[in-house]
Amino acid sequence: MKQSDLNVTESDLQAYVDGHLEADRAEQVTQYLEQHPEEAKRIRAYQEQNQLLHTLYEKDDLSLLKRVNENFRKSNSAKRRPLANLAYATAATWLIVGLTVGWGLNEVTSPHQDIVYTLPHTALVAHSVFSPEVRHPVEVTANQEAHLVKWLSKRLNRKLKTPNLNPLGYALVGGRLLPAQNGPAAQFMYENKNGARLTLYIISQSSKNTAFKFFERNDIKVFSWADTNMGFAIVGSISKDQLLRAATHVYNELDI
Amino acid sequence: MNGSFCQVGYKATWHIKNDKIAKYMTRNKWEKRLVLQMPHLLRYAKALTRNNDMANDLVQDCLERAWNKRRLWNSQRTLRPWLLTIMHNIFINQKCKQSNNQETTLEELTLVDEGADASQLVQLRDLQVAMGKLSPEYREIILLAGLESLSYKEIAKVTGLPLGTVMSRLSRAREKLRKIMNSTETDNVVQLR
Repeated sequence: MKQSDLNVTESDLQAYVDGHLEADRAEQVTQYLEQHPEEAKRIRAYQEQNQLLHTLYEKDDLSLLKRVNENFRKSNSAKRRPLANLAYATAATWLIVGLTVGWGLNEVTSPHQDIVYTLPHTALVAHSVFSPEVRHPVEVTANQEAHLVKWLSKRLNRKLKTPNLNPLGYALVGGRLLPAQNGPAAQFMYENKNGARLTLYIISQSSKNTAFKFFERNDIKVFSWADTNMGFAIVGSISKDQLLRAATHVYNELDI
Repeated sequence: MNGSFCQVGYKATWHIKNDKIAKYMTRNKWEKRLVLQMPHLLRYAKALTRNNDMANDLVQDCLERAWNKRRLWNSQRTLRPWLLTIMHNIFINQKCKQSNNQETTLEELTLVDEGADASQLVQLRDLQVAMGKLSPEYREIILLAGLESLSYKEIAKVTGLPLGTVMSRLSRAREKLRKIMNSTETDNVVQLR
């Protein structure tokens, strides 16, 4: 740990390891290290420590989140200890973080029946199954729109309507009836000039959690939300911004 | 070693100021901010305590305390170092209570990763073991600088140490870690023969 020529101090060397030095100074330290192989070896080892730390702990990150989430679920169902208000909030958010991560890993089989958790997933599956279909993408085509809406409204026992997405460049292709978690689901498909498709997925279950949720897997993106008696999801392989615009559009149109 | 660590005591050394923005920041915004920091805090707590349960508790306590103190946060500062300061204080307080009689049980990590090659797995394993051999204050300073990438000034604030002490401790900690890792490498070679 000499502090000879160029006045390179131990602090400089540490800052060099952490990338805190100005470019000029970093250049000087590089020169210094070229002239002092022993020191260079030491500094390289420290840099390697930093890299390994990131690899080690960032990798562990996800599994820990999942475990925290599991722990919470266990303690929540078994022995509920008195928690402060925030503890509830943190626990709930942990759950959400955990579930999101779990979904990402495709490993969580969620015990939650709340559609906030199940809706985006089923909608995504519906989209990825039917949107590549060339000949039979829908059961009832758009030229029978009135019939389609009436039929699906009856099956879902809700007053449905097909939002007009023409302003966004998407025309209705048609729709179909699908099985969802606990009942029927309505699927409407839209298509733009380039053949890109959007799926609007509607179920007759609702949730108290009415927040907008975003979910993404393999480049397929989902926005989902719920109102007092229905759950909605819009799915597509377009940019998040574009999909959000479509979701907002649908939300405004369906907000009767 | 533990003694000097405890002397810092539980006292937030952060410059606390009643800030208008923090004061009027809504509950939701605060919740969102805290949630965004959570993965980071968990990762750090895990690395520091080397124990899942302790890390879990540490983050929970930290968030609770941060929530209660949210009006004291000066919004000129970035949130994470402030949270790390709170966590540091809780951690050393716990350490002091436990004193030396209770060794923390190390939960062994299984490094399941298809992506990493075998030589890297060995290195990671060595690092993990070596980190466990370091004293908590050495481990902490390495993590704050190397993993959390805090500036040295921020580290001084988080730990309540003078900047000079931060620098010398960091230097000593890294050298110690290097020596331990070198010796485990040698162990491996000997075992292989």
